[in-house]
Amino acid sequence: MLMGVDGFALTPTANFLAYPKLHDECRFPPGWQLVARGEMIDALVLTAAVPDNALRTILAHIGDPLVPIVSLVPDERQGIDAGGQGEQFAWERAYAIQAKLRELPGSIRHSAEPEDILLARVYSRDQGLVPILDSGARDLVRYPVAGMLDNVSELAAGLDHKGYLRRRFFDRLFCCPQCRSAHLSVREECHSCRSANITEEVVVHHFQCAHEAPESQFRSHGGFTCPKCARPLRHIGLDYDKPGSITRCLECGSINDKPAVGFKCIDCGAHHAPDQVPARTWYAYSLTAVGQRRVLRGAADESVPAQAGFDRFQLLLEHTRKEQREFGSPYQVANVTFANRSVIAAQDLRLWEQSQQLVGDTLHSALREVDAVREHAEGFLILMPRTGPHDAARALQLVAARIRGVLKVDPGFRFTLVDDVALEGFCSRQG
Amino acid sequence: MIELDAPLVMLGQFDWATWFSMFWFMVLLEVPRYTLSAISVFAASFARPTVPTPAEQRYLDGLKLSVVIAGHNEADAIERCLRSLGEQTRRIDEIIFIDDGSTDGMREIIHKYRLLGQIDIALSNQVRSGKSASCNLGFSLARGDIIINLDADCSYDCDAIERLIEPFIDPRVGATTGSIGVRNYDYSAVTAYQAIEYIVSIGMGKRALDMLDMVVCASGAFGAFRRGAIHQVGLLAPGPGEDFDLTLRLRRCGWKIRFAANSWCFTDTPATLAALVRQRRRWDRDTLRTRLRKFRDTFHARRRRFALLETFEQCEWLVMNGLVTLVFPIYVAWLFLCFGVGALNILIAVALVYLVLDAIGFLMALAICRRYSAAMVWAVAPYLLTFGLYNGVFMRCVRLHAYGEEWIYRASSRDSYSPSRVSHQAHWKR
Ligand SMILES: [Zn+2]
Ligand SMILES: [Zn+2]
Ligand SMILES: [Zn+2]
Repeated sequence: MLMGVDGFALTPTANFLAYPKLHDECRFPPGWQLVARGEMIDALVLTAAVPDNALRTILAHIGDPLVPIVSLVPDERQGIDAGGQGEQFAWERAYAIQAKLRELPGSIRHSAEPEDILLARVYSRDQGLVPILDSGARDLVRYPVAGMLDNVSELAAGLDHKGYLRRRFFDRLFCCPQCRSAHLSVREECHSCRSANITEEVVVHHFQCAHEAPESQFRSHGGFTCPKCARPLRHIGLDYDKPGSITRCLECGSINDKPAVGFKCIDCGAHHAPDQVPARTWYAYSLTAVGQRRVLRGAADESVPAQAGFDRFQLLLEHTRKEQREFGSPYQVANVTFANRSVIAAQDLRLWEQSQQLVGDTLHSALREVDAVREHAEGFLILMPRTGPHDAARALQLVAARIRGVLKVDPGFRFTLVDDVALEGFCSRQG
Repeated sequence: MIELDAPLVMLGQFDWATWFSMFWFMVLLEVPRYTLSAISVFAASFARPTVPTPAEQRYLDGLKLSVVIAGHNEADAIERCLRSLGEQTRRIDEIIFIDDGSTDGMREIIHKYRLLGQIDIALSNQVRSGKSASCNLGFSLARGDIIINLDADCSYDCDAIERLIEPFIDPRVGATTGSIGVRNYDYSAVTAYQAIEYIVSIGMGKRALDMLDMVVCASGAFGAFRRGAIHQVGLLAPGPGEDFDLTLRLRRCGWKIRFAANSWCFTDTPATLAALVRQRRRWDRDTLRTRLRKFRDTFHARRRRFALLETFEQCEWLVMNGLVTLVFPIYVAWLFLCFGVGALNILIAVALVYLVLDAIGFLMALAICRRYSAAMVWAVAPYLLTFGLYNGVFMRCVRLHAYGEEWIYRASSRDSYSPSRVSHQAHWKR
């Protein structure tokens, strides 16, 4: 694509750095040239399998988090933009990425802000921020497009909140509550001692004498005979049947209907019951029109109105304050917390997560259209414009009653009306 | 037209012979039973209650208890049942629930309580095996010294288990059973009659039998068994009537069966007449079958299993239940044959005597048990007036009908109590 305005876009020759070295017979396509000393590197081309630490060193040397990296040999590591799909593809991919990078304004192209880097990478790679499952990753999920950035999902969630990215569901994975690793082994185990050394045994029912016991009792006398009446069991359906089964622990001898399910963390070795293991939801992200404008113009676009997910709370708060200053109409901000939160979460973390979601939904449906809700670490902030303290308390009591009706557990709903000083504390903590 | 005072007037007009010819049934067959049990129980009420010595108490405390509860579609009863087990004064070492092929979610519920630690072993039969088999599964897995068999739809006094196991101080005791009360006495007339029936039978009958060492049924809803003893005689046989059958086998092996009168269990009785008749027909058929078909040999003096007490017990039952039931219609027919319409007067006179006897029995039972609330007594007392009709005529007819069915058709082989495939096999091969 030729921009025609900027001088450099008319000279489509790109500089590349080959590493470890370019083979003698290797022919690179037209439009490329080996980088000369002191020039900007447009692409890093790996010509052989490169160890992780060497790659890291050379990337540090290049100092450009956006530079496309392609490999002429198969390579599926994080940050490699093309590898294993043929040399032709690798060159084309590198060219396409560097062409996109040239469209970026300098403030974005050279920004050290992780959010800018992520947006620029998503834009230049032109395929959205799509996660893949990878058994090598600690989270079992990684975003190849994100390159060497850390905390990608948190960064992406922030950009989604600002309206630059739009998320859609990818997968929900359990993770260790102790070390957050997703490397969990799901096992069947004993209810009493949590050992995985268990066996299942069918239960035999002898019709004639009504004896019913685990099969091993019937087998202990050599053949298949009833331990109670000593008659042989020959014909299933006529002499006997097998109405159920038991699970027996070979460590402690306890007996049960079905084995328990347990999670064992492979990374830290901790053991957890299923209801103690939180699930983490992963999303794929795509660049929104606002996001694209932000990348191409290099600054937050003031002309763009707040989109869904934009900080509506903050905007409303500012508007409400202006209203109060100008017309003297009062407003209230309530801080809602949950006294039983830690108790419930300790017993059943997932139950708490679900409850909190339900509380959020209930708040949104119970409050007026003009009210705004913001979630924070301990609960929710509720902004109620044009409301006096008495009306606010009454509305919140109604909300509390509604929540008690909806939830199966009592979350211990508490609210306090906060003044501006306390509110500043909350908002600054939110960042 | 029959005058209300005519029966009383009539009584004064006859000599002893005529009097006897009119009332022989009652004089010969009913009064002795009432009198005997009244006297024995009255005597027993003076006996000092035995308190275990410290050594005996140590022995009792050392016993491990397993509770086995098997049920079919009793999901709704489980919470209440567990609550009354949780209140027990005696430590329970193991609670085993067997869901016998339920379709009402009982399986999920016992599973839930096992996760909460209120049940130790919760097992399920995917297909229904019958009460005996599912109890046997629990019995064969139970590790306690005493295995207590309870019902999910009963509730228990908080000291019920403590009292129930007290008789096991005696090493010859193989099983015990406790008192059963009616929980739904105020539901209908049918339950009120049954409440009176239970009060009298528990307060008078069972105590008398216990004094004579003739308790023959450790109830499946409320019985405790020494594990060694039931394994010796081989757990439960295919039902119905399996609890009665097991107790008879225990007695035959020399084990004593005791009635723990102060151990209380409350249950809901059938609330409609149809349900009651169904229940009693089943019980009476089972009793007859078990006694006469399976334990015929107690009457053969040369058999090794012969024991004087067993034979006496069987005879007592034969006379008091079998004979009385069979003779009653003959008596009624005979009255009409001899006295024509005057028989009605005689029957009314008989009914009046019954009323007095019932009232005395009821009051004595109340005085002895001292367990019933005043509310319950006042609620059921009015039904005493017609209790004679219920117990003396109606129940007798039901019993007669059941005996006839069993005798002629062997109806209990086709009982729906066990699933058909099971009972068919069990009875066909016996
Ligand atoms: Zn175990
Ligand atoms: Zn058998
Ligand atoms: Zn871990």
